[in-house]
Amino acid sequence: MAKGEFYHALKIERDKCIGCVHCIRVCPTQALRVIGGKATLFGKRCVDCGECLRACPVNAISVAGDDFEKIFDYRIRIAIIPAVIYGQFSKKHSYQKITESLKNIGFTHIYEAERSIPVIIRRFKSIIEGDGQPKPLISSFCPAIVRLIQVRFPSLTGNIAGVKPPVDLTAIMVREQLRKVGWADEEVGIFYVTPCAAKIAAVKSPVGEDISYVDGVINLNSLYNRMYPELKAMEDVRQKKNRMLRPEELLWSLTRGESVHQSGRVLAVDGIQNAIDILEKIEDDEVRNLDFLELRACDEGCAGGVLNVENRFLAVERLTRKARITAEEEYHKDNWSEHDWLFLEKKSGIGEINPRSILSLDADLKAALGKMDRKRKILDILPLVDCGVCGSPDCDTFAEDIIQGRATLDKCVFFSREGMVSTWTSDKIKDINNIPDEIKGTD
Amino acid sequence: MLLLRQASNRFSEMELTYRVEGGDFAGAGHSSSEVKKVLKQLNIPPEIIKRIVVALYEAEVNIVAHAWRGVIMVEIDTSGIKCILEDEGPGIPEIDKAMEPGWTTASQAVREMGFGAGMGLPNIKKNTDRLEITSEVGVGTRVEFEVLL
Repeated sequence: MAKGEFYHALKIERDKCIGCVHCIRVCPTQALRVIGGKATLFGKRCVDCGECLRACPVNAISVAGDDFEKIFDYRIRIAIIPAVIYGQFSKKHSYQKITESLKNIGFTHIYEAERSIPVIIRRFKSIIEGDGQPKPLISSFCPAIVRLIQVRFPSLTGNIAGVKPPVDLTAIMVREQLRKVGWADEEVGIFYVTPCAAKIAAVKSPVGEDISYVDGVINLNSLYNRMYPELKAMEDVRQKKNRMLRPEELLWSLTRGESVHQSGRVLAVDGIQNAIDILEKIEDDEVRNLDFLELRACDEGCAGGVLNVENRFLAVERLTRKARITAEEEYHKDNWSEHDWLFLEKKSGIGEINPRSILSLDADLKAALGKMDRKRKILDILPLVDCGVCGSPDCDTFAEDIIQGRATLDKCVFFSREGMVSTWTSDKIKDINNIPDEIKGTD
Repeated sequence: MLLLRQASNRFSEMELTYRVEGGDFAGAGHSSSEVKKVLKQLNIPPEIIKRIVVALYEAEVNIVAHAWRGVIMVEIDTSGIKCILEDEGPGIPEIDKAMEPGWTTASQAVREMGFGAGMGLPNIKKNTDRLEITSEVGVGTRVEFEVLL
């Protein structure tokens, strides 16, 4: 992919899209417009949070993961699964059954992404104890949040912890272990099972990294459809000892999963609008003496990811219950030595996360002032009802689209009905004279 | 409250106006967030935005905590960002003292709300390139400051 381009996992299926403007209004970065009756994505603005997908009433927005069959290009087929997968199935489906079902459909090895959490905890500790890191330290866990900060809060990119996400660290460790026993890299395919769109974008177009550590990404919901019949058909298998995840691994991706491991003043915020509100305050210096900030784009953390199948609250209940009832002697015992952990810790950093503001009207101040002046004059005459009929999410963004040459005032339905015709196809706009009296209503 | 419709007539220069009510602690900080939004769109460097936002917030809280009402005017041009805050209020009898860190006339009630620690004016001075204060006891106070680009 060329530099400056961004991979987006969110795809709009044009045949399904009815141009209803639901998606453009929920987008936290104003990355969507309706043009010619179809939703259109502005790649530089999109942070892959998936809010548009949730809002779409006709399922016209989908998440483009890799084709499942791609795993069979490799002799060793690793599934790196998010712990939230264990919250998707009822309690009669044990860890053992869930991982067995993944093997039945074709994977050779299963690892949870959260296996590398101990390294992340160590790394945070050394960042916090070291100096030079501006406060609060913002978690780099949620890729939609990292991108949101880049585009909307460019002054806070320096606060983001330079730590790789768990999936990358686990992938590095697994590959290294397989190298040791003689497997060549090209024989090993590592596939991440993702609960959200942002993690696909993070794998295909990583921030602060030159390469990706994973060979492909499989959507959790599509994998669920393959696993479910296997689980249904499977006899109860005896739970192997030493298989369960530790509580911190099981709960890491949920709200407060990270922040409970930090000392000092910590804050955990979930939901992208809530994250924006708190980032505004931090940018204004209204929140002082905060040491650590955990932000998750989805409500309830990764259990709320758009590709989960189960209701997020039920999934959280299952995961927290598992964390509570699992006895210490049941925890998995990985055979990773202290030497391995040190190796992984050395690999855990990432490069600089650069700001790429989408807010600026013009790089030149004089030009920006001129544009702002024009924008305010346009806003003066707009209706400010934010109807979205022009194809822009609200009147403010519409005014900006006009000054940036992306729209013209006649698209506003308050000025001309023809504007509506240019936003939608003409067959969608009905002539009132041709509508039967019984559905018109009377005064 | 932002007077949305008050656009400046001068090209390449912008004027923003906000009204502030004395005692409205819940609304304090509104004008500084609004100004921040504008400055971000004008591609003003983040360090400068932060200085303006902090100074403006302090000055806004001063009106809320001490005065009856006031007006904030922000002028932006290619040379810098100028803020003028005029209030109707008790005025400051000894401006020199008010500039000393920790000196405060805030009531116990205001201090208990987390305001009035006596750091307002010193903090404004620290974050701006020019600060002028004029005040008439029993009439009001005018605070003008500027951050240069």
